[in-house]
Amino acid sequence: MKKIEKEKLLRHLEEKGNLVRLDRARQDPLSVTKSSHLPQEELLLLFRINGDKGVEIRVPEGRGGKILFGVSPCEARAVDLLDLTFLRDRIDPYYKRKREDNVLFVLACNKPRSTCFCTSFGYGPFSGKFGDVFMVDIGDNLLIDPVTEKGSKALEGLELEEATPSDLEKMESLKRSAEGAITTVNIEGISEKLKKMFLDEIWADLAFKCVNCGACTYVCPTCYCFDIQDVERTNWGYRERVWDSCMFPIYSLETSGHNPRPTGVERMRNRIMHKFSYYPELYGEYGCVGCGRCIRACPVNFDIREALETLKEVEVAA
Amino acid sequence: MFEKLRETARELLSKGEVECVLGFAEGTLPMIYTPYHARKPEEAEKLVYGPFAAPNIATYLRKLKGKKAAVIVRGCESRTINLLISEKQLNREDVKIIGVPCTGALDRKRILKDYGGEIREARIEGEKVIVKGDKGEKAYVLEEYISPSCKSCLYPEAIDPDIKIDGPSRDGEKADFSDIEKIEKMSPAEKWEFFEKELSKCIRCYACREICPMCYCESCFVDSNRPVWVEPGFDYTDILSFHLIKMYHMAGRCVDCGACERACPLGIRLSFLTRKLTKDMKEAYNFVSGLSPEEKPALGVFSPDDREDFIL
Repeated sequence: MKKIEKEKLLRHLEEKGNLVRLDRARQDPLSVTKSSHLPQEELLLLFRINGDKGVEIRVPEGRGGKILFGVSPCEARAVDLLDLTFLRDRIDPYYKRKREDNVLFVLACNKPRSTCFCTSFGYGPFSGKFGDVFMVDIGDNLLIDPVTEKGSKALEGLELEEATPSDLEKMESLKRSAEGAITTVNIEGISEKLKKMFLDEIWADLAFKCVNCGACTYVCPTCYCFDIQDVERTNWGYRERVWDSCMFPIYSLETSGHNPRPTGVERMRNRIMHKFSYYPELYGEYGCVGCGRCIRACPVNFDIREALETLKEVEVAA
Repeated sequence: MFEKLRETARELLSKGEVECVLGFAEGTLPMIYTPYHARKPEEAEKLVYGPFAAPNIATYLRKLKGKKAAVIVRGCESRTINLLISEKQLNREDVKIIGVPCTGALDRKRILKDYGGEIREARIEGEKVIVKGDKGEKAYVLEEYISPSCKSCLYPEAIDPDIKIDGPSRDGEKADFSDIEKIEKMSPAEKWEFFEKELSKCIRCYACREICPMCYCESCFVDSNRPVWVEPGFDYTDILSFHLIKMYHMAGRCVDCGACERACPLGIRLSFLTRKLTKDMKEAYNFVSGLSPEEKPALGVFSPDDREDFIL
């Protein structure tokens, strides 16, 4: 690894472009990293009736990328998970443009929160494989390591020093203490088990305290559900994409009036199933990064860690 | 300290008088009690009450429709039950009301902010909240950190409970609306700016709506897309419309429990609106919502001598 003074790096990045500092305060409750790729409201196109010429359609241009400085490893991992939806089987041009333009400077998480459980998902607060550049704050300096080509390019023109053995030792000690502060939930086998639990009675119990607001899904860095709506004015209008939430009753309401997820029980089941069963089945990855945002934002203390423990204990027929 | 309550709950459950006892249990995070319904006598051991209970438990009665339930309530929650009965959402004979003392609900977000670090433990000791975390141990005076709604609470104790658990409660005579009076004195421009600053934080997660025991509509006006009353997206006009129309629906129906404000993940001060409603209803009609299940909803009755000076 290399090292650099933080101020020097920041000066360099400021000259490069639109620098967004995420390192100065905890990013709570909303994930800026998610909304930088999937904004809560996004203009898709404008339309206008132009006399006899018919309908004119204009697609807005991109606004250029941002340098996101201080992204936590969990949030950077979450963007990788968003990629599976927006870039793998179908390419979403709006998402793709932002993904290509934004540069993610990931900062190892020295002080995990009491709600963190990232280590349950095979990575941790010091995982250096996400985003474009990986950094560790060792106090006087930043240890720095480009992850992608885009990351290397962002560091071009900077003089980086070699990290000394004592720097690396410092990093190791920070890493140990950070990892030690995190409670791991053992989720081994949960996705296979959930497949057999669709009709289990446990869901009603689990869903009792949930009031089905959308707080957990909106603060979640991996929840990506959206709605597309046309907003009409007199002779013009626009099409926009806004966040939606599977917690809301109208999310699954069909035109006929039928709702396949009529109560909070089915909606809660879907949220957990999507993250811990459908995602692994589709992509081989869990749809949760263990950041704990949903736990902190929930008005009734629905704790996903507790829910997973409960689900693990349920006995299901083989 | 919860022995009396637990004993009562245990007895109701073992005698089969009720199918469940609805209240709160310890949560997984500091300073949070979580909604809980004890269904077996031994589960009564989990029941707690106090400042860490943020939601209005009456919200959960809609999940227990058709069941005989005992419900553990504070003043605001008992008034909600009266409102639900008067609006034909609940049968009085289906609920057994257990009143508990109330010293106010904690404004947890303000403690989290003032502490500034990660709180890992918290407990109540007398009139203080003691928290422990990475910034060491700190004590906060409960009275200074209770919800604004609780500061202007007129009836902290449950009204006509079937069973009453005794203990020290707030004094309803000391209800303080001074901060609302300050807003009333602002110019329209200042008010606009003040509310915009608060409400523009809204992400439309509808936690305030879902946690509200009186927001029980099967379908909400904001969700309607034919016609569209409130557009999707985050134009301030739409956000403001949602909150103000919600308030219109709440006049005379809001007990000002403050649950909406405590539920907001963005920490929006919704009690400026709910407390103004409470204050206006009291001043204009000498009406306090939910004092009796027989009382008709304030906006559901007409009397020839109703004041009209606010009609433009």
